[in-house]
Amino acid sequence: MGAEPLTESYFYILLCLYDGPSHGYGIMRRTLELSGGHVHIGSGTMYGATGNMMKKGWIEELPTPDADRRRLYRLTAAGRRVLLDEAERLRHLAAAVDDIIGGER
Amino acid sequence: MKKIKRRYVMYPAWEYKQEIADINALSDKGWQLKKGGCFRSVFYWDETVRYRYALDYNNHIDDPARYRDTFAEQGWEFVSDTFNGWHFFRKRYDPSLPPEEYEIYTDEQSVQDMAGRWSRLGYTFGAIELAMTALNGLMALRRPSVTGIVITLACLLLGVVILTGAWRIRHPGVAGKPRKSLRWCFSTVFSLLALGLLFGVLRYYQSSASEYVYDPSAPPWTWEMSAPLPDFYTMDVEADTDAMVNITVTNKDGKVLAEMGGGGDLRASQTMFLLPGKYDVTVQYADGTEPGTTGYFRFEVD
Repeated sequence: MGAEPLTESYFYILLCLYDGPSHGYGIMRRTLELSGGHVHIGSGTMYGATGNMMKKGWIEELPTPDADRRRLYRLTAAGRRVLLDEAERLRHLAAAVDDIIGGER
Repeated sequence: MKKIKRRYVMYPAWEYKQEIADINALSDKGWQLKKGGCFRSVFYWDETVRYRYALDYNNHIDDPARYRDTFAEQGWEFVSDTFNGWHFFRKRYDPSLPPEEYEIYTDEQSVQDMAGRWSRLGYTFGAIELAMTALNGLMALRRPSVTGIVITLACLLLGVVILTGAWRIRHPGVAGKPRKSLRWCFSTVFSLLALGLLFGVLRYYQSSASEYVYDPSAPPWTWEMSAPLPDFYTMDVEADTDAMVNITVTNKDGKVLAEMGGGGDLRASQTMFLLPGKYDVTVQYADGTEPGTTGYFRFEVD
């Protein structure tokens, strides 16, 4: 299991990169879709989160043509492991919620 | 040619949201920020657009190109930055978009990360500033002066405000109930510093007085001195006399303000608070002293 739960921003960034590389704006748009419009990742949050995750070795930046200012990121094997561990933790949480609360809203 | 307006306003770091709100309000009126600054901001006139501005504090950007590109991806245009790590961005305002579109920090962790960067700096600077103020205050106690007291108070206020701000930036208060602004403290600090320095300069050029009396006549005798400004004055007496004498400082009503005494190789010093006016320094024989005084007296008042 991961050392500690990821923030929503970190989790969605890793999740959005699961299928393949994406740039910051693409991650932000997809996160909005996946979260039903609840999670918006602003530029400051995106810069800090991607920088920290690159330092941790969870994601890496891919080269892009000089004319393209967008930054392309890819999930590393370590990042994939962190994402899968977090997904497992969330599944356990969701299962516990189902057991106790069921479908009540 | 574009109309330009310069605005001289200082916002404390922890009130950066108010600064952005004010810049946005100016944009709505047609004044667009061209260069943001800690003390001075420059605006140009363009009533055809409305922008929403964002202010980021980041004094250690690992990759400046990636930093600006990440903002550009979401439509943020870089406006300017300051020497101490504040970065201004703007985005064209579209009222149909949700407010989150104009936020650069969108989760609590990243808001706290940004606040923490300034907070650490604020705590460090505030602690050093207060330590230096305490040291300066202790030294000023040995030779008190109105200038020293005023400047020490100003530095004390500045240190306390900066430490308060370092805490506040991480604890902005409950939404809808903003904390009371501390902007007034800065004008108070600058006014006190200016007053203290001005007073010090006036005092430096007006107050020094010294007198040498060689082979003095037999006491009692009086030397008149003046105090041009209300302040603490220190009188240093250096004398070589063959008699025991008392030296007193009195005002014109005869009230004794300072008293020293001795004989032979006399070295004495006394600090007193004097209002502007004339004062008498009187040298008298101490009780039981035989008449006859030779040598010298030197008085220096500062």
